[in-house]
Amino acid sequence: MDGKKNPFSNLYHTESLSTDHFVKIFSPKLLRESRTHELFQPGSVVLTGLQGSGKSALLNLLKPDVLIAYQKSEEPWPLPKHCSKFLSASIVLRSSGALDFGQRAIPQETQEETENKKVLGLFFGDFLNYWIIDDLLNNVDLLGSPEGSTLGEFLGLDLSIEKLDFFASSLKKDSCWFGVMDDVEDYEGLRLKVKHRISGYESYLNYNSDFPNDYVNTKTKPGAPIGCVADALKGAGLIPRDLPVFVTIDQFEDLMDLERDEKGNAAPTFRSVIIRMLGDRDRRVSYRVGARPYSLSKGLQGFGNNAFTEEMREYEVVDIRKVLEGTESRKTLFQEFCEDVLERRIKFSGFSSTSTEDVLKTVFGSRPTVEEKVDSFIRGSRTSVVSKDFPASDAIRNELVTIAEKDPISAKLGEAWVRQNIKKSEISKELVREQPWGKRTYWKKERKQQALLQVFSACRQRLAWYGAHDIVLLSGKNIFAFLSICQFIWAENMRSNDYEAYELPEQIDPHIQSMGIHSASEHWFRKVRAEPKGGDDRHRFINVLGTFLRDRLRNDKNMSYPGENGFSLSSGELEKQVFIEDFIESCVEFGVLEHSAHTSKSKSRGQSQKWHLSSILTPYFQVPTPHTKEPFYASISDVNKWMQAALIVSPGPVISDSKAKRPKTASNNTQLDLNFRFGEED
Amino acid sequence: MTPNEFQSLLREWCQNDFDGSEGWLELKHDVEFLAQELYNEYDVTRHGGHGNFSVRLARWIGSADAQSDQQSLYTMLRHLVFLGDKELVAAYRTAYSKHVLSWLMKIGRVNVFAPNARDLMNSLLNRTLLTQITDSFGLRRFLTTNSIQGQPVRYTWLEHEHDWDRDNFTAAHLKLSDPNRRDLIVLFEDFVGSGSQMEDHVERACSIGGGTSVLLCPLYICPMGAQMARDFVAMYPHLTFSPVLEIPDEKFIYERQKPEEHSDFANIRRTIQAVHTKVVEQGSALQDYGPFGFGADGPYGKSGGFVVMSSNCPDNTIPAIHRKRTGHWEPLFLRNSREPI
Repeated sequence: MDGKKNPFSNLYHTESLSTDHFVKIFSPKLLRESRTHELFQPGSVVLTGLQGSGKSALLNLLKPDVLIAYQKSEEPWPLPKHCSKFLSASIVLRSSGALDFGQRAIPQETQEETENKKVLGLFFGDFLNYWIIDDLLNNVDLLGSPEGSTLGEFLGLDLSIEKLDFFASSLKKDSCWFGVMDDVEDYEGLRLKVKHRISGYESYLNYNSDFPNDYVNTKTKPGAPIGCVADALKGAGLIPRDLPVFVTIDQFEDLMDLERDEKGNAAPTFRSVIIRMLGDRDRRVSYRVGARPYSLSKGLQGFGNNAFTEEMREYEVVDIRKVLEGTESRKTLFQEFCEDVLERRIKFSGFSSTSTEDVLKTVFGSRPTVEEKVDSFIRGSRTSVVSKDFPASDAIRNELVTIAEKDPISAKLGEAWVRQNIKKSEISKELVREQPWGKRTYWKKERKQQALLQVFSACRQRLAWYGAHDIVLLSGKNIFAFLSICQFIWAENMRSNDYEAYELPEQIDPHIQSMGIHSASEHWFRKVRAEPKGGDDRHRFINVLGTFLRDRLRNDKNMSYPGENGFSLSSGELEKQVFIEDFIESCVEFGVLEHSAHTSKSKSRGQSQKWHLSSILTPYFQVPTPHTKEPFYASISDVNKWMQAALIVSPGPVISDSKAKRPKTASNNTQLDLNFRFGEED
Repeated sequence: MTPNEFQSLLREWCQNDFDGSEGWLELKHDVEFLAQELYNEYDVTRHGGHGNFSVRLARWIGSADAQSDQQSLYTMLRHLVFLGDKELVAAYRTAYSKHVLSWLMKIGRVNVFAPNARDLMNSLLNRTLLTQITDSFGLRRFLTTNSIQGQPVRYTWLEHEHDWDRDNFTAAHLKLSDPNRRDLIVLFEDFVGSGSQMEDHVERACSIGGGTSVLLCPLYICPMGAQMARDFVAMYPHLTFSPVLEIPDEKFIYERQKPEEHSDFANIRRTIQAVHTKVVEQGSALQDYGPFGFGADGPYGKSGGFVVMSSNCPDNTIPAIHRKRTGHWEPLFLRNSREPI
């Protein structure tokens, strides 16, 4: 494999690339959606999306060094014209040192736990204030430097030393500092003061010094000094009065790790500090918070004042998944997004293509029909396609077997058609020979995926996925899943071919693609368990649910329920069972289930919702991916049974005594099972 | 078989495993991961045109003719215990920091919280002779890994197999009547299979007398070797047996089916017996210990392991894994043997 390169070996490019490389690999397709423009316009925004959905990449565009790299590169300016001007600061919570607050307790004056948390939150807010201000002033300096002056001029900055010093002298008078800035004489002194404050925290949290006593009486209010700095920059004429100031806070969910105390309780102290910043309606600064859905739990209140923040009033929520969802009137951008991301990755890795077709189709081929899938994968006899327990005469059965040799999908559909109609009308072998089900276009279309599943199952083959269409579909509007599938297919292709290192593989063999997709799906299924906040529970639950759905689809030989690769619940019924509702919601927030509204055919169910397995998990469970027809109409009791079978324990009354056993999983029997001896002696 | 041919074959197995009951997909995933992270550490085949792991794997699988045997060989990887270089360093550190020092603390009744604990431990260490049964343990590397100073003699018991003399050994290395005597002897070994190689040397060390105490500390030991060590402990009260890792019995396959053995073992047993005529030439005078490798008979006949160390493959590992027979059998992890092969 030496010399070969997998363009997808690094899935998280945003965090590891230099700005020069970032501009080459970043796909601006998402910026064609007006919802994303809110990130670059005044007003606070919570940007949410699953792991790897592109939050950090979008937020990166707010950084001046990235925009400077765009100016220097041949790549077109990524931002819409009407929202290209702003000054920004950003903090990535994990890499900033903010998480060090979990490393050492800050001395408290009181033993009262609630009070302690309040004081700790204030110190955390104080640290954030100084860190963000430092970054904001770093960016001011960058825009005044030869490297950033072109962007600085574009933004209308006027960064003379006199103005900077004036800025410092007017800023220090503000009461928000509680006297910390009193002895600041000039801009340089201000910068040093800010840096010194941060290093005081860093030094203490890393056990290098005692806690600085003067911090105890000079804690700043979350967000207040940042607004003062923005005001003072404008007051001093350093930046235009109408230039918005943005503050990005990324990886909000990481704060949850800080919030669990020794007893396992998790009061959202740290997250509420950021919620407070959003909720203060300080129009001088707009915040952008990058967060995974599960971190935005219900009822998050502002720190100290317990005020609930209001979506639409204090901030807008931009959900990347929703941005990528198409509507009846508007096609989703996801396919184009995938194409662009793929093209950039392979170009960045040095591959060259001579094809004029779009790169997705060049590499993975176009959409195969179900019949083509059967032809590619079912090589042996196809007579087993027609069930042995087929409740019709031998003559009819034999007719279907003959059809199966040529067209197993049609034979399987024919079997279902006969099963559905045999009691209603007389069916002869001559009629079957004419394949009347072939004329029922919609009936056939709705059942093709189920027929495919049943054909593969009857021939004892794994269901196959391949081709550009399947790959985009399996990615489920999640670019991270798309990259992951590409990574596995590419790796499988590299293991299977001796192609030249920089020659773009074209129309990768369907068997290789299918293998890569199955490996990716298995990887994602394993990954469910590793996720925080109940990953193990969700892993067991999805195992039970996926197996249940697959078995129903396989065993439904009449094909009466071809859409049952998902389930629906009445919203009213669900709302009464908070534990189940929360659990299902956590499955959605962690990307294990996909959720959508459901218009039930049964009026008595009222308003309903439906859930499907996350698309990337469908190959693992051998369940068709597309969401068509009516899902399984589940009751709360059904969901309860699945949860019981998955050993998910409820504190409430719904979950009664369970005789369910933990689902059998094959023992790994790997060397990881070995017991190293640390505590015994012979 | 080439790697490409093998990949194609493996895809077919995965594709045919429609309900996942064979577990090919999961196994493939694990093997590919470990090939990248661990198996390529294998030292013996690093140079000399043996090919990387994926090349050797394809040739190994291709050595068997029947597809059922090829599948059994691949299944063996589910049970492989590969002890890599990082595991060796960890075992070196554990052997010293846990096993040797605990033994010394027990012998010297050292209270670790006492102010003189460090001095007491230093004096105990000065009374200790660290030795290795064979040079495969790597005493030099053990000493440097643990930053142990002042061990000028690196005694290897096997080097004195034929001319060992208790008085000479005592005079040269223990100096029992000297104030600077060494009366605490540690015997290290990297891997102990049946125990036959350590047997004589442990007995010799235990027979020295004169108030000496002995610690037997193998890094990795198999059940038969561990049983032998426990038998020695019963015979010699001044012997302590403290292995870093005792490989459990479930990791070994026996000639005859054992109750509650892994469901894979029936096919593996059939395959290793079926392919043995390809692995070793019949009637060969060179090291033919049978399909299960080196070792004595137990209640279920001979046993074979699936253990591979990054430095070499032990001889009680299944020969089909490590034995080469040109034109007939390609090994996955070629063994470097002391004896002619």
